[in-house]
Amino acid sequence: MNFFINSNMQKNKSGIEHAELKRAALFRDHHESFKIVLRDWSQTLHKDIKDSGLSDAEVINMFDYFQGTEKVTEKNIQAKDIDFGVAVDLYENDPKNNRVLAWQVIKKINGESQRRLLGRINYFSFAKDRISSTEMFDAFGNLYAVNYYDIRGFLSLTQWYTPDNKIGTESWQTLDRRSVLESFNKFDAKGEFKKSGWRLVDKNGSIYTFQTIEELTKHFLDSINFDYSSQERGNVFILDRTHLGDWALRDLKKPAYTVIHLHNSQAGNAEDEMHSILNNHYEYSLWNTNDYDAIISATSKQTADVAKRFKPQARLFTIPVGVIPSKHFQEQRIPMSDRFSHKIVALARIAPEKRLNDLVKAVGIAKKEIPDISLDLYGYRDSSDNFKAYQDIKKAVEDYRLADEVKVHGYTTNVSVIEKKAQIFAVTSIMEGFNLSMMEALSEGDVGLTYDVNYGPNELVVDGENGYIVPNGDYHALAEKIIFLFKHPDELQKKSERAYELSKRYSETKVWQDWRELLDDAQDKWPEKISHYKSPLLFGLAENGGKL
Amino acid sequence: MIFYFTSENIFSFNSGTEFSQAKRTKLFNLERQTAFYVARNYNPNFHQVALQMELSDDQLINMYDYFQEAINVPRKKINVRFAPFISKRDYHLDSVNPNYSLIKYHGRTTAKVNIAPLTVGLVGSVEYYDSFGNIAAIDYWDWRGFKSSTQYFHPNGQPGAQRFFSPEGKPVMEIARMNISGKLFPTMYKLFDYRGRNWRFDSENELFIFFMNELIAQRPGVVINDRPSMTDVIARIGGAIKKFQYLHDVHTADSGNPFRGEIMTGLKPLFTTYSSAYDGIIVATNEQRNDLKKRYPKMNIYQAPDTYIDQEQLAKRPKNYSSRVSHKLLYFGRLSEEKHPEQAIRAFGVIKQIVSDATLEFRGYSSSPDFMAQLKKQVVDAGLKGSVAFCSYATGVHRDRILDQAELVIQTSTGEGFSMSLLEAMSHGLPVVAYDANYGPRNFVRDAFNGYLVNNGNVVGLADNVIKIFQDNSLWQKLSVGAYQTAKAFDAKNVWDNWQKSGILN
Repeated sequence: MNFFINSNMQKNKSGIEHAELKRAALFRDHHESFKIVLRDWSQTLHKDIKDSGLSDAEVINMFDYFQGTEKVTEKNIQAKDIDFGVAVDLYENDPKNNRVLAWQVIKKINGESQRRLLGRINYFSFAKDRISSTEMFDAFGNLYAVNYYDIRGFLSLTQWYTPDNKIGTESWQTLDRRSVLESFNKFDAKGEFKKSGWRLVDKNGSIYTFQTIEELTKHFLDSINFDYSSQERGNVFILDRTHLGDWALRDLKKPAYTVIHLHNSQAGNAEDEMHSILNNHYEYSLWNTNDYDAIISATSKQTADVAKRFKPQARLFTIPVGVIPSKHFQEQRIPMSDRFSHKIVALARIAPEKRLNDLVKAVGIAKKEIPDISLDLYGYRDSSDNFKAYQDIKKAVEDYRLADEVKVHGYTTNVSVIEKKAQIFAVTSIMEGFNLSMMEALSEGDVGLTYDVNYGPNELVVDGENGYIVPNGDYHALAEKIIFLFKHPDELQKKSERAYELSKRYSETKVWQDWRELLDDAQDKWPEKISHYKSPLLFGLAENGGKL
Repeated sequence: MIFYFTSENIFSFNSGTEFSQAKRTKLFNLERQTAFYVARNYNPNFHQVALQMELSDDQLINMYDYFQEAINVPRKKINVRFAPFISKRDYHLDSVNPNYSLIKYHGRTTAKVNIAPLTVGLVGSVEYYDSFGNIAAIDYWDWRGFKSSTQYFHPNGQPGAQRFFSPEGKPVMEIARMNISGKLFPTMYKLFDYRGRNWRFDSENELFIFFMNELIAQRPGVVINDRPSMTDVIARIGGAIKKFQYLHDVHTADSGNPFRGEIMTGLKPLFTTYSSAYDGIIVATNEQRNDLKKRYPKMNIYQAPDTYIDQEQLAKRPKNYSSRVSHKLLYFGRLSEEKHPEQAIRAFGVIKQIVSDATLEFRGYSSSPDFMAQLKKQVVDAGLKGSVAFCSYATGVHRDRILDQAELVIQTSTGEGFSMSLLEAMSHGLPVVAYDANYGPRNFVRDAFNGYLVNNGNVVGLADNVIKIFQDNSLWQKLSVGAYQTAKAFDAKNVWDNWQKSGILN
């Protein structure tokens, strides 16, 4: 089995989730089995999975695994189905808070009646008919527990409360309410209230305690490694977020083929890849590179840099994180003459590290020569430092009097339509992990312009062929290339055609070949790995000297 | 007709109440009645201590067992060394001593297995630690070999939620513990999926009432409550054919004043608020019945014996004088203030001056460590250290051996409902020297026949009679025969006759 390790598959995805989904599609199309391993608990996980185009069988979640809820028939439970153990005399709708209150009405001796809260029944914000949680009260007015329901309609987690209204013990349960996983919240020696440990009742009845969720994750990875490997075939673990298992994968009980996937620069300063302090996320894995079987980078430049600096014994693979579907190459190419004339686009978060104000400045300079130039920016506005990135863009727009030429839009999912109508796609970031948007833009025939930054843009763009790479931070050079391209329509057209051509580097066929190489390596190494492994002893250990 | 005899629990150290309740359960079943020892409290060792009381599983109904679907579960011994929940591929099991073992991960203690009491290496409970060193959870294992409950804890170390399981591991019940006016109490008892739904109760007694009503609805019967602390709860049970309260003790501490002496605090509700909730009160002796009848003419007061001496014991003839430890005096019963063991020590001081080889052995648990310390100090101060022994509570053959070895039994209690321990001692041929207290000793101790009675507080009188018996072997022999004969009158047949004639069973 090929496992891709991540924490979640929530609605707001980062590049890592997108990369995994593209990889998943590729594996699915080539009938290569895989499971996305999601470590975190989420009530909506199975909705998120579905919304991401994944089937339940393509995902394995740690909590589901121990709760035995990987595959559950969906059930819609109503407020009336919540059994408080006493009759509910009154349901009070509270739509403002998206909940229903359940009351018991007690008749007092003097004839008055008194209401006693049994519980609050809360609904999911996005699905007003689905119960998300119930807050449970005892007869003395204490909130003693909150029960969380899975979107599939079963009680998944009980949090017992402390008398001072903190979350005390948490218990994840099977469908028949057996507590199989618990976590505890206590005061440490300094008096801080923190998670103090985990307790697991494993599928075979063994009870384990773990100090941290990392230890639990290790046990989980060991468990699925046992479950899914055989004498003939081992598992491949691809770690997409290092904190989830960089140490665990070094120390699996049974062999496996372990892979660190670099989704970002290994160097803290991507422009000083030979000397810079290491990217903190990858520091532990890099120190221990030789304990893994392989390192994947998305670009050959990154692979080369890793090889040059670390001289690792782990095998290095270059596998693009972007995949252009085969059918895309059969689409009609759109000549530059059929696009908005002198239109530049950039798709990036409006964030300081994207330096989009540089792009605005370059457009400002170019405008003197290309009066009908225009620039469209698409992306979430990063709020950090009081929307500084956006403020910088606004300032550049004012400085260069570009109010009519530059438009700042929000995030869009209408990517291909925008890219099909633009002529140039530009990148001015400080650093990149790959830049899927640029890959897609080039595949739509946009001519690429980028600063010379690691990793991705300076490989997606082949200087002088499908665009230009200019020195990092040199927006005057950027302006020059814009002017040159817009003043030479033949060059622009030629480069657009190369953009279409060079996109084949990221075709399904090509990327699958890259993956095949890694999977073959894993298979080639398996006989050697398994030959050193001895399975646990079973004979003579049972109470009567029999087999376990 | 079914009989439900109710109390809180069975303990490792039981008082006369539990003994009497257990004896009655056995007697009724012996006489082909269906009778149950019914207990309210949670006790993972319930079936172990019941076995010590020679009660079989089919004579027991513990409330928690009932809801845990564990009334009748064959015992499976879970040895700590083979406990299925300890993965010894991952953990070291360090058997520190016979009382506990530690589970260690890479040298760090992660859990402690407490060995079940009075077993060799069987799992009793397991404490699991968190990374801060707190006990995060305790799994309690039933003596019969299944995980019975898990106790969780609040951050301050007080017990929090607790889940109870069926022998198959299904959660059947949950207790929440939260504050009531700033103090921690169990505030919610919830049954899961009992008869197809959940049931919530606000206290253990509410649950107990529900439980009793369930029992009675399934098999109607007569309830005899043995614990005065449960008088109010049993009063609220509906549907019983009849309800009685058995009084094992005197009704007033003022033993010389049975008509006007202040009613024991714990018994007051029985004679006031709940008097009409019961069909009657049962006492062990006719004397107490007559006193109560006079005092409460509107209430039904019945007499039926507190215990019987079983055939097995009576079949063994008492050991003769020569096989006993010469001049060994036995105090046999609880060491608590109202039984005045300090007066036994004072009497013994006098005895010791005349009979220099006399010894005194206390057998019984003490009401408090303080009281025990006080008694020990008294012994030291009186210069009796070498001849007085404080020994632990004993059961079974051990208990028999002690009664077979002593020569005399002394009792200093100033009020007794019956004094089962005296009768038991007499069944082993032990003469008795006791205070002439209401109601038990006066009922079956006859001067010069099976022992001697002296007035309450007459320490010198006690000593004189003990000395007299110690110094006259033929007297001892005569009293021993008398004691055995007295006990024999309380055999199962006679006691059952007494029950049948009591009017209670009509």
